[in-house]
Amino acid sequence: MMISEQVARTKWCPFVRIDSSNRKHNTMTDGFVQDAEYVPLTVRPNHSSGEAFRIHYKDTQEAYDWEAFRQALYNPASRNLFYCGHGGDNGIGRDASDINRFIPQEEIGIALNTIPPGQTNRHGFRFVFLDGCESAKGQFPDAFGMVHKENLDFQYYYYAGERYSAFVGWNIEPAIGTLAGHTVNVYHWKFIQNFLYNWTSGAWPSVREALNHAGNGPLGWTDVNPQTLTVFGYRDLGYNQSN
Amino acid sequence: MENLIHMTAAYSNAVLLLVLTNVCDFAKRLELPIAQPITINQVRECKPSPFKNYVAGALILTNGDQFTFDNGYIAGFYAYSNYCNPPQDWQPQDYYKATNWWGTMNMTTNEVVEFARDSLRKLSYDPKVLHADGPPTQFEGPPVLSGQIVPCCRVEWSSRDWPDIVSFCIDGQRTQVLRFSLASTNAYRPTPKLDVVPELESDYRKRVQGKMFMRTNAAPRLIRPKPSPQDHD
Repeated sequence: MMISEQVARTKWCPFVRIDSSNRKHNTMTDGFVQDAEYVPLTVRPNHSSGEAFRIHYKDTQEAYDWEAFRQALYNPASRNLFYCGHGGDNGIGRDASDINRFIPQEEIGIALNTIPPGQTNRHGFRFVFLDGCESAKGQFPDAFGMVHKENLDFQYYYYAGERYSAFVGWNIEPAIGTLAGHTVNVYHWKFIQNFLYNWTSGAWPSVREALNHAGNGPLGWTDVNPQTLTVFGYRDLGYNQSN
Repeated sequence: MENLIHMTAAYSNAVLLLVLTNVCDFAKRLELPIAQPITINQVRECKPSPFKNYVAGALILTNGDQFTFDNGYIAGFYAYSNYCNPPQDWQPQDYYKATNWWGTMNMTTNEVVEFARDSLRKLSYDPKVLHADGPPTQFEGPPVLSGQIVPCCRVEWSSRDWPDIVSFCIDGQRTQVLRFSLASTNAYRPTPKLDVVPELESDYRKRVQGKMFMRTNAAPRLIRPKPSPQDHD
């Protein structure tokens, strides 16, 4: 044997060990929580063990969920966000007319002190992936305190002296849900899971390349074109880099 | 997802050998500055994929170079610590170390592009099939850091109109590939069969739970006394 059983299952391949219920790859979002807590990072808002925080849909609980999400977003220690759901280039949520169920992009910029730029108390995020419609088309990178330029390399950060950060968003309206949102498009789910595996396992340490290779990964082939996703900021951001 | 396997040293080592064989071939073809043949002693880490019927893995050598084996081919290569792959643990205050990357650019733009295409040919890929026969869709470099040239260029062929993504980082001083990434269904090769057949994690757990039950002091089966004939009418 070249390596021991312990090394094989812990150091070199920890995924099966931490994934006792296999839920990580059963759902589209839970893996982000499980991998973050494995780092370990604090995951907000409060959530069931190993599960991503879910916002109830068209339910009396919905407004409370949005409020919890809002508080987590503006918590001074929050630096990473993966969101999957309704949205657009102007905000996060399904109904822009209802502030209790929608977080406008302008509000994020004001709450995080990132817009206008140059504020000394700004709260910049390190990584944001908005898995919703046309999320790359608005001013979200500015709102989250990131550089609103595509595919930056080392040179920019060398001169700016900034910590790395990256924003990932769609240029299109991805087919995430089907049957009026009651089920998830399997190809989309597989793409996100492939990306999660590529990036967190270190197989592809760069976020851009983890996306580029998510079209066909361990969860199988998908019809998602990675080129429909834009990375603003540092294209080679690592999973736990500058965290 | 029921296709997670139970990782064992035997399976991990089988993947390691498969990936290492491909890495040796890849490094030889691209004439990477790595002593050949690459041996197990040069492997710092191997991360096999834990999925059934998906043989893949990332290999990191002791010199820091990383290779990713995916869909039957080496899909990625990162040479350690260069402009295209700065160490991930660097903080902004460490960036002064990047002055070690200063050098002289000995290649023209066209030579860099042609070298990238030649590298594809050396790996037995037809640039035309990968949409890399035309002008690159992105060309960056060489960058200037603190007034000095870093002889490193990035070449990429990608588009929303086709599924292939080919990218290279080329060291224009030593004429070497620093980074390579190829995502294309045209590059897929059949995955060789491994001698070790992995067990599903779910099956392993059922088996282990069964064994734990067997280890108890309970009788192997309940022995009931035979009913006597008087018990029946």
